Amino acid sequence: MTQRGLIVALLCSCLLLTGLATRNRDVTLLSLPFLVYLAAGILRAPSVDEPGLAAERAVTREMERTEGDTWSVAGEMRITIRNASGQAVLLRLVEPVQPGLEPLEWPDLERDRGVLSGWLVLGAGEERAFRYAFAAPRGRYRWQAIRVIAADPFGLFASELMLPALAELEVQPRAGKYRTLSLPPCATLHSPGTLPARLAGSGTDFWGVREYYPGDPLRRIDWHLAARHPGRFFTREFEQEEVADTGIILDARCKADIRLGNESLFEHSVRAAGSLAETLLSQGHRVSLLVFGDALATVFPGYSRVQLQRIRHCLANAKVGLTDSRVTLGYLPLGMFSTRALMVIFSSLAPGDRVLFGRLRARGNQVVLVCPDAVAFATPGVGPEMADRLALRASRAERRLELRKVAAEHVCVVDWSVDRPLAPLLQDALRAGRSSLGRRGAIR
Amino acid sequence: MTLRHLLWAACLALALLSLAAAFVLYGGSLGPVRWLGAGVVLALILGLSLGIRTSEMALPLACLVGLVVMGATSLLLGAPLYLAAPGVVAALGASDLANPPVGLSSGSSSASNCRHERVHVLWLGLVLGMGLLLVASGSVISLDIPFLPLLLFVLLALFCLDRAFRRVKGG
Repeated sequence: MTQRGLIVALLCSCLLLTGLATRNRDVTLLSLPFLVYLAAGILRAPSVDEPGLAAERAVTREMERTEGDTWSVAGEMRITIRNASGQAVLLRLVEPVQPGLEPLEWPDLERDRGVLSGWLVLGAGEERAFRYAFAAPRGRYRWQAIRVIAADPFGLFASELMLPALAELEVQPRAGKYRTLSLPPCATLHSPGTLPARLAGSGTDFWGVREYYPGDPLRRIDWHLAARHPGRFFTREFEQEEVADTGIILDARCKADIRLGNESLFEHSVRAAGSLAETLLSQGHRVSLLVFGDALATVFPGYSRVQLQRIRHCLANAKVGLTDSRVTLGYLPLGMFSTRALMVIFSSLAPGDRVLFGRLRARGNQVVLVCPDAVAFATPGVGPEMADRLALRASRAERRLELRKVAAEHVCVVDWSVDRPLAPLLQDALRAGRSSLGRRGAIR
Repeated sequence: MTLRHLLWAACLALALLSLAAAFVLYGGSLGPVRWLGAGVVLALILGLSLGIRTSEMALPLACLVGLVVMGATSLLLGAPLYLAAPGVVAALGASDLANPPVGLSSGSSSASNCRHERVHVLWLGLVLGMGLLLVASGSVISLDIPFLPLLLFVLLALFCLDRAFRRVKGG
C-alpha cells in the first residue's frame, strides 16, 4: 500500500470510529466513498505474479571528457520496458544511480538525490524507452535489474518488480605510452628481446672477439685478426639482446591515498602504472601486476596486447580499500615475481612498509619505488595558519627521512610530485640503478 | 486545458462551496467560529489547488485530510449530509486529480497516456458517483443496529478488504 492508500484507509477508519464513538450516522456514512475508492483500487491493482513485463538495457560509450582535473567517459544508458500482457499497466521506473556515476541529462525522468525515476503507462503490447546520459570515472559498473513499481490508477496500491536487465561498463584508466622511457634493468630474461643484456650472444652491437671454436658460423670469423695471427682463427661476438621482466606493485590501501575534492592521489598512481605497463609491453618486455588493496588483484607475468588488456582490466577494477592500519607492504606475497624481475612499486609509503624492500633486495630483485608526493598533493588543502605550515614542514621532513631510509636499502627512489611527468624521473632512476648496482640507492 | 484540469477545478469549486456553506449556514450558534471554519476550508482548498503544480504528494494529501476533518466537524455541528458529503467527495476527487500517479503534467502526451487519463477519469467518476449514491441511500434507509454487531460488521468489512487486497496482489 502506498502512502496515499494508507492515508485514505486511515481516513476511512477514523470516520467510521468517530461515527461509532459519537453515534452519528452521517459521519459514519461519510466513510463510504472512501471505502468504495479503496475497493476500486484493490480491484485495479496489478498482479505481481504475471506482470508480463520485460526490460532491457543498452549502455553506449561515447567519448572521453575532462572537466577541470576530473577525467571521465561519457556514456548513455537506454532502458526499454515492454508490456507483453493483455492490459495497460501504470508503472514507475526507479533507477538508482551507480556510485561514481554522474548523470548529465535525464529527459523524461526526474532526479531525486541518487535516484532517477519516471512514471509511464504502457498499453498492451507497447514498449517505451528512457535514456539518460552520464559521466563515468575509472571503474567497473554492473547493472543487474530494473526496478519498476506497478500501481493501480489511483496510486493506492503498488507492487515492486525487479525486471532482469543486465549491462556492464568498464572504464579503463586513461593511460598512454611514455615515449621517452627506455628500460635498462640490471637483469634480463634469457629470451630474445630488445635490451642489451651485457652478455655475448646473437645481437647486433659488437661485444668482443674470442678464439674460434668448431661449430661457430663462418660469417662471424674475424678475418682481419686471423690475418694478423697466422694459424689461428677468431670469432666476433655481439651483445645478446633480451627482454626484461618487470613486476609492478600498486598500493591501494586507504592509508596510501589522499582525496582532495574530486582528485585522488591513488588515481595518479593507477594512471602511471597503466602507462608504464603499456610502454614496457609495447617494447616487448614481460610485465606483471599486483594491486594491494582490500583484496589482492594479480596479473601474472605475460607479454603482448592480451597482457595489456589484462592489466588495464585489473587497473579498471582497482579500488582503494583495506582500512586496517596494521597491514603493511611487508605482508605482500612475492612468489609471482621472478627474482630477476625489476620491481616498480607505486606507494606513498606508510610506517612499517620498509620491510618489503629488504625482502625484495634479499631475493635479488632490482627495486624502484615511485613515491607520489602526498605532502605536495595535500598542500592546497592546508590552511594558512602557522600551526598548519609547521605541520606541513614536519610531514615533509618525515617523508624525506623515510625515503632516505628506503634508499639506504639499495632501492632507487623516485620522489614524484604528481603534477610533473613521471617518465624522465623513472628513466633517471633506472639508469642510476643500473650503474650503481651493489651500491647505495638514491632519491631522484 | 485538459479534461483532467477542468474536472479538478470543478471538484475544487464544489468542495469549497459545499463545505463553506455547511459552516456558514449551520454554524450559526457558534458565532465567529463559522466564519473561521469557512476560512480554514478556503485555505485548505487553496493548498489543494497548489498541489497540481508540484509533483509532491504530501500537500494534496494533507489538504484532503484537513477537508475531511472539516466535513466531519460540520456534520457534528449539525450541518446536513447533503451539504458535507458532496464537499468531502469532491475534495477526494480533487486530490486524486491533482496527483495522478503518472507524470501527465510533465508534458508527456503519448497515446497511452491520453487513453490512461480518460480511463482514469471515467473510473474516478464512477467510484465517486457510487460513493455518493451509497451515502444518499444510507441516509434514506434507516437501520437500527446495536453497537456491538455494528463494530463486528466494520471489522469484518476491513478483514474482507484486506483478504481481497492480498488475493489481488498475489494474482
